[in-house]
Amino acid sequence: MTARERVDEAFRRIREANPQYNCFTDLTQERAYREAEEIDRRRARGEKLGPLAGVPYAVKNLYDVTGVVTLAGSKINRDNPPATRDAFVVRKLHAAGAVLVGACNMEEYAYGFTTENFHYGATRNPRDPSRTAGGSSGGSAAAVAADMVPISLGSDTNGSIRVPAGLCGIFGLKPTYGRLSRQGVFPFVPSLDHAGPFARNVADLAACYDAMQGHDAEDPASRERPAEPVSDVLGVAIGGIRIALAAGDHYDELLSPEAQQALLQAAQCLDVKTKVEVPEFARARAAALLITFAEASNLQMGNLKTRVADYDPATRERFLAGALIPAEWLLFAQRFRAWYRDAWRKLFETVDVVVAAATAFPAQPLGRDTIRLNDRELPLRPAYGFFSAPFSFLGVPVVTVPIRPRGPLPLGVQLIAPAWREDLAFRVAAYLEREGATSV
Amino acid sequence: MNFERSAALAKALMDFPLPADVHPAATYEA
Repeated sequence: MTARERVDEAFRRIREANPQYNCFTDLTQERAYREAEEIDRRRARGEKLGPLAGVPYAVKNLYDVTGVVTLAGSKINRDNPPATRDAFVVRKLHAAGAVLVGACNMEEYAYGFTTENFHYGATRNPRDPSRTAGGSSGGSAAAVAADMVPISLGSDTNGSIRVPAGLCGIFGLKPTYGRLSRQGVFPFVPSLDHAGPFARNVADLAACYDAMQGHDAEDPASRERPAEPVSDVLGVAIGGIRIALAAGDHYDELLSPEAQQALLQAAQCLDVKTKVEVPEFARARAAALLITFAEASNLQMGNLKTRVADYDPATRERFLAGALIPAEWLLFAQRFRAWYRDAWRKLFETVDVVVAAATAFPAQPLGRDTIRLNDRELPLRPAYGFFSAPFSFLGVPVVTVPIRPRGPLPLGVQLIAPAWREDLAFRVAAYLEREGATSV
Repeated sequence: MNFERSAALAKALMDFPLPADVHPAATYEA
């Protein structure tokens, strides 16, 4: 297919499926055809093309796209002028030949796990439209799950790539903190925000990730490391990788039967018999959330003072509560983060990849407020992030893999590797895919 | 409700016997 034909197909599919799932808030048709035609011209001239030449993709609407207002899921940002430059990773994908077709729905300012957006409507799960697609990158995940685009970008602060990837039944990557630049990505919690991709197979996820790597002086968190591509190692045998299942510290008792089943299938495929005690799982999540509440509110303080009525009511309550966090709590949480990172560095001396549930349960119906887990009635929305928040807090890389479901709804598992070792998580993900343990 | 949730999280977190020599300086390094 030519690049133009691929873009035609993407827009045909978007026109067909988007009314049902509500994934997109902006379409960039003029740009997409311009980019596609340029690729086709270059191909006709026999020029060497990038690894993603002609591949359509979409971004969460917090990425800067030249000529488009960066909504970040909000009403408030609508009053901003359009972006004058693409985000760093969008420029990288353009250089690799990928073709941007639009921007996707999300939770307001990335604050939540269900993409039930007050201003732009809820994104629906392509596996069951009565249910959430997860969030906050729900539009990006659902656009890939519904086959509108093969790859998309989300962002992950406490699980906003891993949760929707798991609930929609696709692959997602939260890379090491500092690996991918967040320049031009509207900030939510700068000390926890990560950029990352979604895809329907490991090769596409790897190709997109590889294309986005590189140091960027405009993101203070971006580390000066050479690119460490993973596409070429996907087929390398996993025999030498020490893999263990996460266990302990209230982790097991929160797993639904469906999540236990998904973990069992992953463990059987990988022949994993070892378990590792996850240190201080609950406190890590608590610390991650306290940092989230405080940093997110601090960034929004100006708008909270002048435009408080313009927030999504659910998000507004979270921002206002976060503005009251005492410095003592925030500093304790940051000190705990240093301790927790060191504890996991020790743990990673004995294991290379830890397997944990991406979520404790499958996607629930939109509008639902609580969930019953092992005889405990819990607020539903924060519960989606139980198992993802501790690992973004750590900053280590995680590939989320959709495990072939026994029931009607998909579930993901997280493959968690030491900092800067995305290659290990990718190799295990590729093995699960090759062995037929995954399903998209 | 949201602030009560924050307070509950803080209570659970700050029970932890964090050694005094743990500093937040390297917080943002993976």
